[in-house]
Amino acid sequence: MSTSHKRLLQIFAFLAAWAFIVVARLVQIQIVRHDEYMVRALRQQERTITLTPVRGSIMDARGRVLAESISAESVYADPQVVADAKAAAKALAAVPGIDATAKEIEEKLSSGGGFVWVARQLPLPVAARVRQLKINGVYFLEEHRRSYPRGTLAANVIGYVGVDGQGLAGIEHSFDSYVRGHAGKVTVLRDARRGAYLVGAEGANRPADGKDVVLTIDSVIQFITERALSRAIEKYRASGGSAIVMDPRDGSILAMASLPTFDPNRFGDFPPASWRNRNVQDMYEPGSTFKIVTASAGLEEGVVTPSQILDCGDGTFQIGNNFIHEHGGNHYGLISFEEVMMHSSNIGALQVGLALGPQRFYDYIRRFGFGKRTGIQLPGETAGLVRRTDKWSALSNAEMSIGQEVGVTPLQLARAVATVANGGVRVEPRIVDRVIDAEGQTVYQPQRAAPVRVISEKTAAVLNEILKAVVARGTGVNAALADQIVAGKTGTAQVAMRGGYSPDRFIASFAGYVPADRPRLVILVVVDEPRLSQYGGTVAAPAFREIAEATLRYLGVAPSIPARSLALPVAQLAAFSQEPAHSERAVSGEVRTGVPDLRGLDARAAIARATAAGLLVRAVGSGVVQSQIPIAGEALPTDRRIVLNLSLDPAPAMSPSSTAVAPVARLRGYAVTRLRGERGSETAEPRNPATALPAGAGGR
Amino acid sequence: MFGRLLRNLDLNFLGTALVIASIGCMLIYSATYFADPSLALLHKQFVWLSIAVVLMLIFLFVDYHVLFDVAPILYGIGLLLLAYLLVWGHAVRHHKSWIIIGAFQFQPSEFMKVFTALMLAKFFDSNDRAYLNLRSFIIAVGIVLAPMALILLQPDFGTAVTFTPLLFVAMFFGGIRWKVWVAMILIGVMLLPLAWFFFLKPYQKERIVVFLNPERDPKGSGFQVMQAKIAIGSGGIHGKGFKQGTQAKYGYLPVSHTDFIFSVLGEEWGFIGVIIVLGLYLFLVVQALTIAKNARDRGGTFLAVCLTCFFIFHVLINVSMQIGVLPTTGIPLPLISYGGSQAMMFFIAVGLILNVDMRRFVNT
Repeated sequence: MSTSHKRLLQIFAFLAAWAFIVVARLVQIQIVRHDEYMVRALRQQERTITLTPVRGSIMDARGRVLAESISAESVYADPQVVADAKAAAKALAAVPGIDATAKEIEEKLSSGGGFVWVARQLPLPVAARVRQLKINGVYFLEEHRRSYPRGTLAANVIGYVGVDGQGLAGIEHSFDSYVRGHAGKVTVLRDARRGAYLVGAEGANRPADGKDVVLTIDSVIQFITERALSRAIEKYRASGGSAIVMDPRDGSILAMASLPTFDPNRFGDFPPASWRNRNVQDMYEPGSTFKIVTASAGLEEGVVTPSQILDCGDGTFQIGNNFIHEHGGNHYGLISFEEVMMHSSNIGALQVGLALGPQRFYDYIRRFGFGKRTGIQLPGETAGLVRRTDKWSALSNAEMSIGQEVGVTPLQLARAVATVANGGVRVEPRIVDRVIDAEGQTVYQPQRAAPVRVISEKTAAVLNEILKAVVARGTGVNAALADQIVAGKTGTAQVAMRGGYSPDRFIASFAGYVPADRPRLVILVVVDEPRLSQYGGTVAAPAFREIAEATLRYLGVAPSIPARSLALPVAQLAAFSQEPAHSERAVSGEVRTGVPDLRGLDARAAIARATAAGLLVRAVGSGVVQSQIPIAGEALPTDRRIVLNLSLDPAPAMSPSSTAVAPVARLRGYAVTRLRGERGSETAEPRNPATALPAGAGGR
Repeated sequence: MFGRLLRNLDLNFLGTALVIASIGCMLIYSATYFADPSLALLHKQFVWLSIAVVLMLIFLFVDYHVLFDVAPILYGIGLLLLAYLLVWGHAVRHHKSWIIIGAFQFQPSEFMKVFTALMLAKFFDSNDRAYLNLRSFIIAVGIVLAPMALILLQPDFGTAVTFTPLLFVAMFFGGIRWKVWVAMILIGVMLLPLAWFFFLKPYQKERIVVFLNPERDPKGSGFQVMQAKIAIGSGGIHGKGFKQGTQAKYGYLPVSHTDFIFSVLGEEWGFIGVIIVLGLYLFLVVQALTIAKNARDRGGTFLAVCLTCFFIFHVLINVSMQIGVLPTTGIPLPLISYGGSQAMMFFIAVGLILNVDMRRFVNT
């Protein structure tokens, strides 16, 4: 028994040792190294799948969708699984909506890898047809495709996205972080055969869809603006152009057009140049529109008054060995500063600039915001080019006074005009009103910069009258509206080239605001390289008028000119100007016999109209025709003479605040330095503007 | 007579076996419900267990002395079936170990374990010397080696290994001097290279290589053990919970309802569950050994010991291979792993042990 027991004990000692090893090993695996094995289990069983968020929409100020993401399906294939690449490729290529050819698809399907795209982001019906083919090894992935339902509308503002949904330009780019949303992650369990993913795991990190961006752009105004700009470009065979409509009260950009444009739905089909937003990305020499800045500074500093007579001489101004000429070889002689602006006299304007001197002039340029980005939330904005005074040449002061040697963006210029419209307060332009979430709650609102006063209210008021005169009787007549008073300035700039200016390439522009006395819209139209005319008053002003007219009607702005003071519909007025725009609309004007009603017209239009009726005109005063003898409707007088009494606009007339006038004869060359800072010491009567009107002067 | 016998029935032992089998059903459910929601395997296991319980009752009520008398016949039939398989059997996963009769299929090698145990016990019953003489020793070892050899030729290395406890029993309890032990171990060590080059199949060699270095080929042969260890290890102390084992569910654990069911246990029930189940086995074994100790005769003792050794070896080997202590072999976990033949074999063993227990009193 003892032997047997001893053996038994030996056996069980062995078994117990074994059992001990087993338990020890279990302790090691399950307790000591549990974490390690847990990690290994999760690593092989779990897969983290990225859930792409839905990109937010971009809407106009009234909630109209300009960019949205719509469901789409991408088709991909596993070439290892596809049995008959040739047949599959043929079937796939036959589906309408798939662009690739059978050969291209077959090449992909014959490749060695385990994954190839067959077609990206197909519309759902197309994907459904592919699904019906039931090709083994062809799979589907739900994706989102960016859609721009209005095509080219505001394309240069909105921008576009790449195929993987990243914003590449415009708002799509600058607000990408809001619009894109945040990718989610979901952890799914995977079986050993890597078959179906078993979705529905807990702890999923849902994707956060992108936010919606609400622009200040109004699609209707944008459309109006693009249409008017494109007509001007077509009509004058220009290479391109840009236009901005801005609400001067808060800086909201209501429209921003840049042509040529592109369709963001298929931006790749368009040349990259068309993707640019010229309004912020390109700078140009503004030419005469920049005289607004010169005038602002001159009036504010008191170096000039509207009625002050300047000697514009024979149309040539010499600085050292260089000569600066008037446009079109004109010479104005002695004219008031108001007339300088009306006719866009270079020599008059540069004298004001010279009177200011480099430092003061430079300060005003900077205060208007030139040479610095506006900070608008659009990508690629350029600061423009305003050289410091120590880099100026002998010519610079004069050149910059007439808008040369300075690079500005259309947006900067629009802001400067808005500053005048605003009574001298600079408001920063804004294009994004707010960013909202799916519930419409505002999640982000761009900070508005504090308004900066650039010129005094008084100076702005004086300038307002001058700019009204430009449109009423000066180079800007084509911008005039029938029922609203328009203030503005034309610009005709030669395109700067290496070593000088191009003799035949121009930038025609018009910058203005309306209604002049309670401005609602600041509009800038810039037409690049028009080939049939070079003048801003001819090329750009009609586009301004078209935009202003349609936009004011759309916005329901009440007319500021009483209807009865109108002699002719504006269309007819246009018909008599040398500007042939809208001549087709002139046909609708009733045919009159006898003396035409010239009341409400400015001098030039009235003279043109009267001449057309076979009358000889004698004009008295300046401004708009207030009365006429004989009165409208009477039979034509035998002597064919008509006397027009003109005065300034029915609105409160500009009071020539300063009566200071420099001795005209000496107002030349370096003599102006003598005038700096002098106020109210001498007087001179303004000449009769009507007689100063150069015969046949084109708008500029 | 049966009434008195039933009063002596050890309900603790039987109850423990049934509890273990029930746990087995739960684990089989856990391991298969995801891949096969119809639960076909679990239902089949219920059928196997029912048959097994019937067989248990037969081997319980028929006096084991009577069974000793028919042991040579059963043993002989078993050998014939194994031989038949070698000649006409069809290989299933490398092994010619299945006899297929219509829809019914079974492994004679499983039943042979019991028959061999019966045969060996019968031999020792009639041989009560402390030490075996050479002739008796050769007979005893021969009784075990004959079926082992046939099974090795199938070749089913794992099942053949499960016969080794009978060899130990034969030699230990038969009384072998330590010099013989030393000689046998030396011979075994010398035979190892021979076995390596001439006997083991490539996949068996691979298993041994992989056992020695399981990380060498995680996607190949080491895959099973790696996945088993990940399953058991990730279970931790408390386990992932019933039906929550992801390793088995998602198919990482191969044959999780049969040979690797212990990994399902480890993953879902954790260290606590593992210890409880191992504790149940220990309880079963201790009771069985008590029965062996209290048996009426030497034959009863040997029968109970042989069968208990089966339990011990199966549990230890099966668990050891899943935690990387031994190379993988196809050995089921007693009463838990899915499978008809093995369920029947172990329940017959339970029946036989109870048989010995019930008849421990002389003259009953």
